[in-house]
Amino acid sequence: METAVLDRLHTEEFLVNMGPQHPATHGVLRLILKMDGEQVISVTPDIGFLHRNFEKICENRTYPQIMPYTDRLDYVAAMTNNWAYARTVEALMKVEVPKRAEYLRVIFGELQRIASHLVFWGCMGGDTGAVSPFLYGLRERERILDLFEMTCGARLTVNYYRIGGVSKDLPAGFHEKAKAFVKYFKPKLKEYAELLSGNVIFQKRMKGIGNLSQNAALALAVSGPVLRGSGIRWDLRKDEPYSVYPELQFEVPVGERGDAWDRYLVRFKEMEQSLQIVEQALDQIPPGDLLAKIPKVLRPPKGEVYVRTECPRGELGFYLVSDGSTKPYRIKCRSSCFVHVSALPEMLDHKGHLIADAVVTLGSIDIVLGEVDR
Amino acid sequence: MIANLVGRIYAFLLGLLIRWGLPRPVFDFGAMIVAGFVVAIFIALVVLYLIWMERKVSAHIQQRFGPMWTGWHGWLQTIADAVKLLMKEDLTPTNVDKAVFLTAPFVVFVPSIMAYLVIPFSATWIVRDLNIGILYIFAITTLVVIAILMGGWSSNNKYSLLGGMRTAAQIISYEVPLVLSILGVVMLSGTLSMNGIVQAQGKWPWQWYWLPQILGFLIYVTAATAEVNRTPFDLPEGESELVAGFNTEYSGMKFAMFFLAEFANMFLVAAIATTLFLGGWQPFTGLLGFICFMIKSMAVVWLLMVFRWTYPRLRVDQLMDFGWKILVPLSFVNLFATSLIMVLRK
Amino acid sequence: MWPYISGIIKGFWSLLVGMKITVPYLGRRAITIQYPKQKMEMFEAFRGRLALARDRETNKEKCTGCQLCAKACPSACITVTQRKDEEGKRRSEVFEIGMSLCCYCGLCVEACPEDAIVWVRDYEYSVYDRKQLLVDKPTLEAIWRNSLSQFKKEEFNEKVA
Repeated sequence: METAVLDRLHTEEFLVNMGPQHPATHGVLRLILKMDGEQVISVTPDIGFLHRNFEKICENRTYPQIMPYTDRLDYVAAMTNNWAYARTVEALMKVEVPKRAEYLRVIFGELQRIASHLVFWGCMGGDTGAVSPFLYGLRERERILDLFEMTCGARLTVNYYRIGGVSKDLPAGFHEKAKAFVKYFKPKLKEYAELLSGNVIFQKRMKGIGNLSQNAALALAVSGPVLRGSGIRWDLRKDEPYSVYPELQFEVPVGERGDAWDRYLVRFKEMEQSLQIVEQALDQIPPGDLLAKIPKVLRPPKGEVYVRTECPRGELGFYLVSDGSTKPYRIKCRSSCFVHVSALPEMLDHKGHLIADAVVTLGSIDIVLGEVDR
Repeated sequence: MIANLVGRIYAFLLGLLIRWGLPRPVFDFGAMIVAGFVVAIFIALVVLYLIWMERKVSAHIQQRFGPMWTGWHGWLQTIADAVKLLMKEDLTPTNVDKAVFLTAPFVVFVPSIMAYLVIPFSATWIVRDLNIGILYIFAITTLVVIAILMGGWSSNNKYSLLGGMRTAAQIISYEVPLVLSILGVVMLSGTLSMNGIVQAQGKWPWQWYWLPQILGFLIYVTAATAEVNRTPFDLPEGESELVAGFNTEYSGMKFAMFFLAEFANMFLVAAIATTLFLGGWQPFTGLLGFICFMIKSMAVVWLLMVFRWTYPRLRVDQLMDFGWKILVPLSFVNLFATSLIMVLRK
Repeated sequence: MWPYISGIIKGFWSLLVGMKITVPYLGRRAITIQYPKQKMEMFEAFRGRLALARDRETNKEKCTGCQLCAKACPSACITVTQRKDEEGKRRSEVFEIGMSLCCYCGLCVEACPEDAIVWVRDYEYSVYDRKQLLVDKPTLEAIWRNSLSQFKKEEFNEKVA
């Protein structure tokens, strides 16, 4: 009887535009939601509002000059972007990075991972309505950014890595401050697990939302925590190890169902693992050079290379085509967030989710528009 | 002491005006208007203070300072905000339903002011001690839904419409556990009159109804948070989703009215909670009783504020689930247990 | 039936735990500072503002006009021309930095062989007139002179030596 009544009730689907300016889309992203009443039928992301021509600009800059531009791709996790780019050029030039520089790279890469996941954690709280976790997360991140500022002078656009190593050595007092941070942060993670992860309202908002099955995850080429949240154990640091990761002990957390809750938990646990890595690296770091012996004017040999790095948001890959001159012929940046945005319809369409769930799903894939649009 | 003063001014004015030939009903009417004004000014001052308190509480929970520059520790901030809102351009979008759009902000204030007339601020400080006090309050506060629906519908905006409808559903469904939870109190005190309920509670904190009616108290606080649209039930104003819900199209003074009405309502439910569960103005009377009452109400408001800054918000269907499937059965359990114990006591 | 009741109890408990974390913050001191009245001093390595240094003892210009900084800059915001001074040494004639183009990456500071272009830990230099963002050589040297009061002498010599 109900369906007969509903069929005769003339209901229409309407389009809701979560426009480029919106408090919940993490940047300038436009989502066109087709709704039936309260339920979302389909979502179409509209991107490009932050396109800044990164790849074209790179064709007119020398290799060292491109480094500051990579800071601004995924601006929440600048260190790992630098690292991804440096590795790409080093792979083409077959440069061996000194041990101390590798350890420094790992320390700062993992600290950046913690900082980036803190932003995610805070924004997840903010998207679901709890505002205080946002401020707590950013307060902890301040300490990590202080560590960055001590070393390289900037907090967000760090420009720390160089092709062949890193640019500056650790300043005096860094070890003490970093160790103090590790000691301070471990119990805080437990506290934050109680505040947000343990909260029944938060769990209800996140569990069962935005499911991404294993097959869909593989088919859509998602990576990083989104892939691991769907139950596939694939971490470039373990499966295609680079730098000194083989010498460090850590685990890779994996989710089960591929819903927003699993992705959240994977990132939360990754913070704990990164803390462990930082601790080990601080103990194991050897003295040595900071930069490999490379010529001042870099002229990589002709050829092309694709190198991918595990960034906090997923797999950031740089495809570099060199024609033997000081400037690259073509750089293509394969960004993880771009792929994740295209996975949004798979997570939301025809599942009976409401707008609130769309916001939560968008938050759980943790995109940064700088990387989506480049 | 103050009650004495007021009584003497009243008697003096009564004598004066009767000598001038004013009929008694007109005088009574004038006295009621004055009382209404006093209540309205009181509400305005309380709301002023509450907005400042909210900003400070939220700031300190987040380890920052909040307003510090406008006056000592920012106490003038609310006035600065009010002046700013007055100076803002009062936009009326073109296709709105003008009459409804313009009156909604005022309609949202009227039920709160009407409900304040029966709150016992102290033993004799009550505008009108109706013998159906509680019933009157719950009947009147439901009218807020009309104002919100008016705001949402007339704005000619999909977001506002969604927000208004959600609010209506939320408020109406949380009225049920709200009223059911206080029935235990009504049974224990044997009267619907607000002053009567306060007097039925004893002088000591353990005699007040929050202890024998602990379940009712918790249900009341939860349902009251939902009634005033505060997190975790603030979906209508869900900033993360619909920008501001039914508030989206309002700017300037009209928005200020909605904003102030939210705080007035918040204090109202806190005052009702104080009266029903925390012993109202007990154990003191007169001015001291008033201060006691205010401290207790502010504590309940403080609790509501801590809720807002600690918890995430519920999705609309989870909200309805929670109201109907958890709060309503629990309030029935409370009612049943209370009546059982009362019968067994006899 | 039991999952229903235990769900309510567990949920209620988790809410109380949440409050246990946020409420103590009301008693703790806030960690922000009241900016114009209290200011923070930046770290030594801080990339604040660019300046042209001179030798502290002889007060001779350090910059030789070699243009390595201009070549290193990704934003092409430095303009340098060379001249010869009285002793025949190479010095710079024009030295302009477009601070609105500069991306504060520090590649110029790294590239300079004489440590002539340096970072100064200043961060309060916003202007009302956009023309003031194109800083010329006298301004850059003035920035450096003003900054000397910020450092202790030993730190400064270490940095610039």
